[in-house]
Amino acid sequence: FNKTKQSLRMHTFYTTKPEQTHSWHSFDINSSHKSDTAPVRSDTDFRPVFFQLSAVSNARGSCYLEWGGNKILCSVFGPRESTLRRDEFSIKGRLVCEVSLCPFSSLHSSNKRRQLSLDTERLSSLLVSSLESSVCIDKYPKSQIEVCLLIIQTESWSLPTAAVLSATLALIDARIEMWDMTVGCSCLIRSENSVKMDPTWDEVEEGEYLGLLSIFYQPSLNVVSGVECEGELTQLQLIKGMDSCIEGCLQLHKYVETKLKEIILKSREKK
Amino acid sequence: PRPEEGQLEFSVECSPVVGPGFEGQSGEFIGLGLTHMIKKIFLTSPNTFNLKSLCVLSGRQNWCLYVDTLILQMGGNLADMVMLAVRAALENTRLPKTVVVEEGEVPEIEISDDPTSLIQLDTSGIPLCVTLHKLGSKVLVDARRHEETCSRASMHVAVNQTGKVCGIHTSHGGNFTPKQVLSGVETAVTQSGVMFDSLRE
Repeated sequence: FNKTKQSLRMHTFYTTKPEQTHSWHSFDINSSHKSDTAPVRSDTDFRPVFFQLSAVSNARGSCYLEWGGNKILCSVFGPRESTLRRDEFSIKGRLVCEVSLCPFSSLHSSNKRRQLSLDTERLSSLLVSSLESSVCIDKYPKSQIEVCLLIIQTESWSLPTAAVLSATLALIDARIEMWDMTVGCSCLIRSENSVKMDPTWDEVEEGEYLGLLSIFYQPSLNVVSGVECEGELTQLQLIKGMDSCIEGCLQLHKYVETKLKEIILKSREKK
Repeated sequence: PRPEEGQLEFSVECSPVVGPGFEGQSGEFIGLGLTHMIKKIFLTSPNTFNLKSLCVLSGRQNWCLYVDTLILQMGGNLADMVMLAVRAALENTRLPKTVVVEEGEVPEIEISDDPTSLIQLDTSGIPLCVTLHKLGSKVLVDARRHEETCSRASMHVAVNQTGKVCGIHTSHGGNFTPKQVLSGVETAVTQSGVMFDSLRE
């Protein structure tokens, strides 16, 4: 398959501050609660990403991530003694993931699709299967590494991709040995030539589309560690979606790498 | 749920009869994963199943079908079997015909007692699942249980009769290169074509 090089705009990625809430002075009863000033997003625009490492002081590593409408706090504990049965010896370590959703994280809706994407058990098993191949589990025999996620706010279909990114950053902050970073990217496929990156729930529910695709990708190893696809797609449309998602993952990886280098240099300067 | 549509409720259960390692939590885990996969496929592909065919009286009474799958023996390749069983069960379902009787203000429903007047459901849109396992550098379809334990990664691909991909789902630390994913999907589409042909016979 041919790799089409799309230029995904990088400047929409970069944010230095977390999202600011509206000042309560500015609330007007007559105005709608949806942000009217939100700019119209083009197909290749990502929503802004902000992350901060070491947000939780008593965890070995942690990360607070904001991506679009998702706010996730992830902390990593371990390597600890494995809670498997005592008589079961394992030469490889174990990655355990626990996801908890705050009750105020999203608007309560009877929409079955939203309920399905907020399934925490499913999300935790998805995280384990996507991250397992990137962590050097062989180097932690008889132990387990616990990744705990707290989802503070979510309003987008791309919650798994944000969760994977926050878990990866928390693992990096915890100095756990890893083969590679796992980044995720999701897109909405309208046709063979039209793909929208990083869709929100509103865009998914209102728009007409053929399928939704989420990819979890490890750039250095060129390995796809997870694929979640829904809708009805022909193979050509799937190829187009995968190309765009992988391109998006590479851009995201580059951005996260540069930010991490800045953080490390800053911490060295302080010393 | 919309007023003119019925409902389908899915559940997959792993019976403890399967084996000593499958009782309690681990069996539940397998069941939940499969339930989620089926729910997702039926909910997100619009052409899978026409819920309007389950409507009796729009806004008042609709059929709600509970599709429960019980796993009795594990021989490998569970996801494919479960999808096939769900499709076969829905095809075998016969609903009694209902007649709307308008007595006064509130219309009532009369379910006919005639055992021959039945409605059959249209299951042509329901996809079949093909599970691919990665063994070394090759990809295996329809793995047995011991082959599954050797595999490093697995991918479930749901394909419908028209050859369109209805859902992809990886599990167990899926490690595929992008090319392997796409060639896997191609294999799944051809294999599902074979399955649909054999179903027709």
